Amino acid sequence: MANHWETVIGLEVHAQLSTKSKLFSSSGTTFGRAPNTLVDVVNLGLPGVLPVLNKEAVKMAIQAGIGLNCTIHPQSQFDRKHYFYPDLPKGYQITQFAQPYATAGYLDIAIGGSETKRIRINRIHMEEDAGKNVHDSCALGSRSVIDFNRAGTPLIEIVSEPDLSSSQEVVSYLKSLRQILRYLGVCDGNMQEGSFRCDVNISVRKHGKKELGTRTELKNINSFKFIQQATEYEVERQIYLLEAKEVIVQETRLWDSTKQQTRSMRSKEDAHDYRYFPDPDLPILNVSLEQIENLRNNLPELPNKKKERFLSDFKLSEYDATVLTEEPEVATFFEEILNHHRNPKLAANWLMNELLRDAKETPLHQLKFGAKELAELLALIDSEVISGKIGKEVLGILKEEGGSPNRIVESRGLKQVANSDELKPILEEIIARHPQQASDYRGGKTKLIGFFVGQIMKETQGKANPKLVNKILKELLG
Amino acid sequence: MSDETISLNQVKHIAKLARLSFPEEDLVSMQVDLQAILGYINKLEELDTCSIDATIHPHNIPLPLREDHATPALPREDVLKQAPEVLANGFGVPKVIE
Amino acid sequence: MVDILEQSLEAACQQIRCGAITSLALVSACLEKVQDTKDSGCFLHVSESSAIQAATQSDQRHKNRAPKSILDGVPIGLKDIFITRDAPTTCASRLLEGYIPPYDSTIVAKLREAGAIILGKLNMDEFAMGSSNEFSAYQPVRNPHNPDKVAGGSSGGSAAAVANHSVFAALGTDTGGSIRQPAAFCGTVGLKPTYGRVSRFGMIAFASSLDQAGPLTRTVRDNAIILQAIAGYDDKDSSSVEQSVPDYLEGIEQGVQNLRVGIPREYFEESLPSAMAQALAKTKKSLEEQGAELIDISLPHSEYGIATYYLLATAEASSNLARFDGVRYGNRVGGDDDLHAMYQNTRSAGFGPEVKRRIMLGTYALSAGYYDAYYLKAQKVRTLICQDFRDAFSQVDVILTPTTPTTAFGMGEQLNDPLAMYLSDIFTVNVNLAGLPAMALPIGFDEDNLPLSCQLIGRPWDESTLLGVARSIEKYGGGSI
Ligand SMILES: [Mg+2]
Ligand SMILES: [Zn+2]
Repeated sequence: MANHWETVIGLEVHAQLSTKSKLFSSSGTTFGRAPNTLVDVVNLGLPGVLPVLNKEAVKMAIQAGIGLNCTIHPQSQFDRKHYFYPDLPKGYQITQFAQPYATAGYLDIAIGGSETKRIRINRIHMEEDAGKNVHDSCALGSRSVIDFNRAGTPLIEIVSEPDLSSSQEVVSYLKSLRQILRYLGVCDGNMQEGSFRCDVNISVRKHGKKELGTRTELKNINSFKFIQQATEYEVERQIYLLEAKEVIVQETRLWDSTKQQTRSMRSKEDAHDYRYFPDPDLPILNVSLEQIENLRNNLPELPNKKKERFLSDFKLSEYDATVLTEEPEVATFFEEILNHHRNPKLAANWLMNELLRDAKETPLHQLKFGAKELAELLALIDSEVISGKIGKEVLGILKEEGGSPNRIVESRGLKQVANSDELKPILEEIIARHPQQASDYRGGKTKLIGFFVGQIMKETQGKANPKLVNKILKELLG
Repeated sequence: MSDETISLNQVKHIAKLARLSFPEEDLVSMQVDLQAILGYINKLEELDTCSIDATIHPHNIPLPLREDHATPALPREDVLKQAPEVLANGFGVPKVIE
Repeated sequence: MVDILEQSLEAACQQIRCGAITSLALVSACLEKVQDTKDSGCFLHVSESSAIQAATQSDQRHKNRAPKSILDGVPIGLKDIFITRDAPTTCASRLLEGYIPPYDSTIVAKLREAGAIILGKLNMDEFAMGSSNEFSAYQPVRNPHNPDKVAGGSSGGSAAAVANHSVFAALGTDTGGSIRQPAAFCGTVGLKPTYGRVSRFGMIAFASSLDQAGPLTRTVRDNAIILQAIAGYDDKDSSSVEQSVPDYLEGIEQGVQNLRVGIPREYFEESLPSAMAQALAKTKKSLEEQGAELIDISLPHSEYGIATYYLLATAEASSNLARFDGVRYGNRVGGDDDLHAMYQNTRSAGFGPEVKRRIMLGTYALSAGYYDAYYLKAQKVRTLICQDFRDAFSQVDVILTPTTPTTAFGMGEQLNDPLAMYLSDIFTVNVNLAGLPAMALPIGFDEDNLPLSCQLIGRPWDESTLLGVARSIEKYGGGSI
């Protein structure tokens, strides 16, 4: 029965810009500080204060607009949006309503296989964040406590057209959007800390119908998993209601992850009348076409471009290229390795197998060594100064203590023995000690060569050059 | 807008939007005052302003921008000093329901 | 002792500089005067001990021949709309009773920097909304020339304190005439600078696109001296403008030879009281005799100013006053269990009747369905009014008008007729809509010994011409008190 229904979804994403100071004032933006310790007279909304716009926030916002293929407007205007809420210091939020700085963009998202779908972006505007209500502590009883640390933090709100039609597309859009913002370095994308928040507008309609159904809005869900679950639940709920000939109420709903359902927000928002008007404290924002073009020409490479380049320039597999470009930090690390030692395949293998596996616990930037050290290690392997096996041992030391691979290999005597004068007597002795295996080999059991290699590796702590060992063995046993 | 006078219900609605409350008799006198003022303001209708741009700011100056430097915050003691209710290092209010 | 208060600010500065008098002596005399004129209701807060301390420090600087500026040691007063770090700032509202801010407004910082002594905070209409100073939540201000008359508003305390010699100068703010109208009623010189000339940072906002701070003084030269101290771009105020600040005393005595003075016919059509009409005629004649050319001009959209002003100003005010919610500062009422009730009770108890009326009007003008008809319409008419002035200033250098339609009216006379009160701003509001500089200047007294005043309007950023013309009128034409 659900087949008769078509899902229509639009997304509003609030992304926090990674500036050092707030959008209109100079207190800091660090997450997780003690309550009310990142507050200044301006974002506290004291009588008499005035806003002054952060240049870097404008730059980052424009970069995001360019990255999302928007038209950037040389003139935009800040408006006041009015509502009373204790975490909103001035009784209004400074935002862009009538004239946002960016409009009419799009984002191509992956929808399975190599297929993509274009999701149109209606607009992006700059605005300030509100503070935070704390009211879940039992100790507070019937009170809420307001912390204004977050108040005034710069945000961009990215509003899509209702072009999405499933929870999978929603997640694909959000992942791709988050990836782009992280690549541009304008948002850290941290959903737990609220740097990347999403409102999902959902409605369903009979297939083939033109007009949209009544929509509900899911607010502030802080993980992709929950967004997917909440969206699926809400779509089903709406279809169920419509099938039962019931009405859908236009409202804001919250996701209850424990009960696995959405519920209506209890605060009855008496018909919103935000009374928008241009903020008289802030003249028109002018950005010159040169500035915009300059930002466009110097835009950091976006994930799609980077992946293409990894495929063509480094001849990586589709899979490797995807993994290595997922996170900008990984891609940068990878390219940094190649800057010092250009063996893409080897670098990809080592990075993916040896470092990304533990990236959850130890992200790359927390390692005790950098891309340069890993490149040094790979160079030692490539030039056969050490074997791959010893390489892993050296990597273990790097992880524990850091340092230089060259020096580690040197000081611990891990260099390969690649001198036949040195290896030959040892091998002769091993063969002498194992006459049975030697005659079996000579009798045709050539696989036994591995046995002799194992013996010499044991004796040299793995330092014997395997190629040379093979060559000498074949001479001695041949 | 010309013939429209502001109804008592509208006065109540506006009061609610502005988070003001009035005793019933004050609502009526507010209605009378607003009607008188709006009646006078309707004078603006005499002017055809279709092709006129709006003036938001008296001078057409560009918005100045500040560098992204973080400066020390206001000491929390000063942040909370004038608060009617201080609770757990923050501003206490009646429970906010979501 | 009282003698030293009779002199101008400029004279007092000179006396301090040459050691003829100490700052402490001036401050003490002023404090005594404040005490003597207590019934006038000028002061909301007297900073006695900090003023005495500051005066002592100033005297030390003068002794060391290292004064901070020409103003070092002179007592002045501040309208209670300016944020002061060490003194209560109430905006004459119950809501902010006892509020002590954690920072200084830019104007106050500049005045302290110049060594001026802040004697206290002056009464006003609550949140600068009113034209009579009867809307102070604490007490009305009485006119120094007749206690049964209003001092005007909203900077009534500033005008009256200067007129009764409690301070040598005061700072006021002007959104629709709030410096000029009380200056006219009290017989002082009041200047509203060009919008953007003086920082608004730390000045509690009434209508952000119209508000501008300026000096009230007893002489034109004193006014120039104070303007010099407060003018200039402030990177904390995005609406202040980077315009060079000239030396305002430099050309102030050069007269009005060949100056073109516009006489807008719309401002003289109203039937003015005869003494006022005569004083204005005398002023015109005196300007002509000094070599100025009088030019008949028209400002055709003048009559729409009040309607436009009251829409824009109240809309902006309804927004600016939304922050007074009883959460972070101010006197909270209720709030034991219900948030919505806390907001309503706090705001209903904290705001007086005129403030509420304007919040209501402004909220209505911005509300859904009315925005285009009211707010947007008013912004467009504002454009027409600006254009009127631009056209006029292509023909003339300065414009002369009456400041007010009447002399100071009686206490209580317009209290219950808000519209009548609004209309008393008819000659002053257009200047704010256009962001122009304008001055109110005493030109004598009427038969009841109430001050008469003329208004001079200048081109943007051209306060110098205004001050020069005003100085000429002061010297040869208008009366001074
Ligand atoms: Mg939104
Ligand atoms: Zn938003």
